[in-house]
Amino acid sequence: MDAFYLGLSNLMNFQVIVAILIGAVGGVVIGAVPGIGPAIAIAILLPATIFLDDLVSLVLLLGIYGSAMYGGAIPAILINTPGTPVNALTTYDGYSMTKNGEAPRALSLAYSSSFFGGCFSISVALICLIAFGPYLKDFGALFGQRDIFMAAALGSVLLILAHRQNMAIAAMLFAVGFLITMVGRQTTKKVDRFTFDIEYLASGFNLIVVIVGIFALSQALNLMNGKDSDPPEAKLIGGLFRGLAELKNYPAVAFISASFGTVMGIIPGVGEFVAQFFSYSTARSLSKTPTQFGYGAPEGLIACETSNNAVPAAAMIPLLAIGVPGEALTAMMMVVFFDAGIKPGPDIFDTAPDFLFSLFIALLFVNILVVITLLFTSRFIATIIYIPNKFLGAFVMILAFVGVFSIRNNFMDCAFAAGFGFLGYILRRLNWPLVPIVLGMVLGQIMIEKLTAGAGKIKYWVDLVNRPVSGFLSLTIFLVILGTLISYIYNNYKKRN
Amino acid sequence: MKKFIIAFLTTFTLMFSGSANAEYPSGPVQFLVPWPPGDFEDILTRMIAEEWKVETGMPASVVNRPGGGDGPFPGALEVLDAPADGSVIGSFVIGVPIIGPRIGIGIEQDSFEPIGVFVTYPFVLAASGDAPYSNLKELAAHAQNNDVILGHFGEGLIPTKATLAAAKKLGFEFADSSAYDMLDCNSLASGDADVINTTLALIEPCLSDIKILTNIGVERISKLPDVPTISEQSGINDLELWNGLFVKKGTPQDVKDKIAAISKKTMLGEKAQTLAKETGARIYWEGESESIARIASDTVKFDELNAILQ
Repeated sequence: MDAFYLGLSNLMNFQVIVAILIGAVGGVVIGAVPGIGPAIAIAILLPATIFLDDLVSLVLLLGIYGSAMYGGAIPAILINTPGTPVNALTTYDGYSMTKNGEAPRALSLAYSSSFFGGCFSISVALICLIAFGPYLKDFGALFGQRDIFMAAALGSVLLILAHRQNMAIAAMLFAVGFLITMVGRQTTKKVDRFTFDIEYLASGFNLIVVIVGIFALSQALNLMNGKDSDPPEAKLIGGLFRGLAELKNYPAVAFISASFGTVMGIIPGVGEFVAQFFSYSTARSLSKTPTQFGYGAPEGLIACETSNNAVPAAAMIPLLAIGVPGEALTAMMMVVFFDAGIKPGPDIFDTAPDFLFSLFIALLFVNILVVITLLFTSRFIATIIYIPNKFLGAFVMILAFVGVFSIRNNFMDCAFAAGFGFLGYILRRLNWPLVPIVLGMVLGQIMIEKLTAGAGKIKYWVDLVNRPVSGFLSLTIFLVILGTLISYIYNNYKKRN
Repeated sequence: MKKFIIAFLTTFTLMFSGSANAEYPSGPVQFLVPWPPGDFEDILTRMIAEEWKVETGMPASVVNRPGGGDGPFPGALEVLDAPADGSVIGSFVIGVPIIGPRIGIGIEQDSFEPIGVFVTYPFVLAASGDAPYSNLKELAAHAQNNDVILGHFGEGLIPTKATLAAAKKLGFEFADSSAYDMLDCNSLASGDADVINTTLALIEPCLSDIKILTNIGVERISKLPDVPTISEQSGINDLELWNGLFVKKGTPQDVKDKIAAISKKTMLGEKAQTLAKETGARIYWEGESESIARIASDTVKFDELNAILQ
């Protein structure tokens, strides 16, 4: 419990409190503006965090991560346009409720569901830390180089399989990310990998440069080249407080969805979309009125918003416990952990337990702050939805370039960020996913490092899987791939017959 | 579109033309540590960065760029990519100035200029608590009939070479070796390596549960007076492993002086010296000329290690 109180006292600092506030409110606004989203905001902020204090930068990014989906629900419910991609499923029942004249009810249900989901997964993480924290030091010994290699491999497989409609494309883009991370001079072996005699490439690509290019600059180009749509007017008449308590009428849906969000958040490479899909399907199968789903069913809205907001806290767990990020936002946060002098991995429970508590308590504050803010400012935020795309694009572009240049005052960084921006823009136009590239870089780097470091103990291939954790993880990889293949063959068979 | 590009270029030009003429530091400064967070060079460089903020009122950050098994060299190459204006400062171990120029990776003898050396590591060879050996002689006997895997920070780095040279002198070889960015308690507990080259800072939490076979330094570590040095046990020449601050060649002298003044104050300050007392690290400040002389003498010792290994 000492670590808990120390973690809490770490947050009682003016700069940290301001960062939580800015992260929470900023995240809501960013989430509410269709076209930006937390990934782009965090990408833009990454270079700046290098110069902020450790905890300040982390709670700022966590604030954005934990609050963007609250904001994203506003345009999803009011104008049928998800603020963040994760809120897409919210439009089904949220916008239908708006059309039925129940916009305030839909919004307040979304807020209370998100709050419940967020608090549920944070509580799970905190209880685990308090109950098992002292024993986690021993748990670390189970994770050697080969085990973390297998965890990263499992994350890669799950990430690719999660792109059900674009599995081949996701695999290809993951490989591209893997290749990008291999660029550079392998100094002890005196090998130049894909440097093409360009001296800048000798030290490889800076992850922040790639992230800013792929996420922020590509979207800036997208916004500047796109046409402003003419969304319907967002009308919000009526109080938001009444619907808050309605969540208690659907305890099973809320609890199941929060559990799905927490579990899916912990599994690397899965994340919000799969959590929502499972939650929504389960809620529909449990409902007495399943035909209402898609036409304004409150359970549908609750399932989506509870599960997606349960993911952020849970997604921090694999990053903190074994140093393997499960999705793009936690991959970005990994950069900040290093710059904050914290090395995610099994030892973190021994070396910085108060820091862990600080992060989860900060996330709890973020959730509380966001709900309070939204209850009083939703009408104002509903007007932000209409910021012209071209203005947004220019704003994002300027911030992105200034941020990249500030990393080390090198124009080449800006040039390569622009190159990655164009690559990201092309991928966006093709409607291909961007996340596999970034995770290909991060997980690829982890796999190369761990396999190289563990090589001393690998005489035969079986040595890679003959430890308890690596054996379990490799079996899981096998079963997941087998399951996908069987499902593919079965579905094809069903279609033919 | 054109308007936006013009606005962007104007903002950019105004921002950075102003800073070029101002007195140093006119903007943020970045200290690049080519290792993961947590070891002495990281802790002490963070102290310098904190002092920098207080003294100059400008932002300063520490950025960790581990080499992924390639030691400190990828990070050093990043410093080489930065302008020679003191905006990016390398916090490098002995290997960068001594080994860097010899391995043909783009680092020349004069690529970096030292600002000063500030820490001598309490560097050790450690094994898990249940290992059937407690010193180099016993390890040599055990390795005759058993595979022993060495974990180190980089194949060509000085502590690795010192360990391999000592093994050769004692008549044994490691079955295999692997390079790690971080060698800590978990490296031994997870069974990834049988013996590891590392610093006391990284194994402090499990110091009572593991065995320290030897230390790589000119004298015994104050905290471990019973552990003989590698020189005492194997007869190879003694060698200190240190870390210092470096900037790219061509950095103005007034910039180097400013960095040196703040760093010296930090290292001789109470916080750093308390760390020295608690951990057994030697923390001090040696300026530019002393650092150049130290690099020259350590280069000779490194050649002696290479001669043993040939």
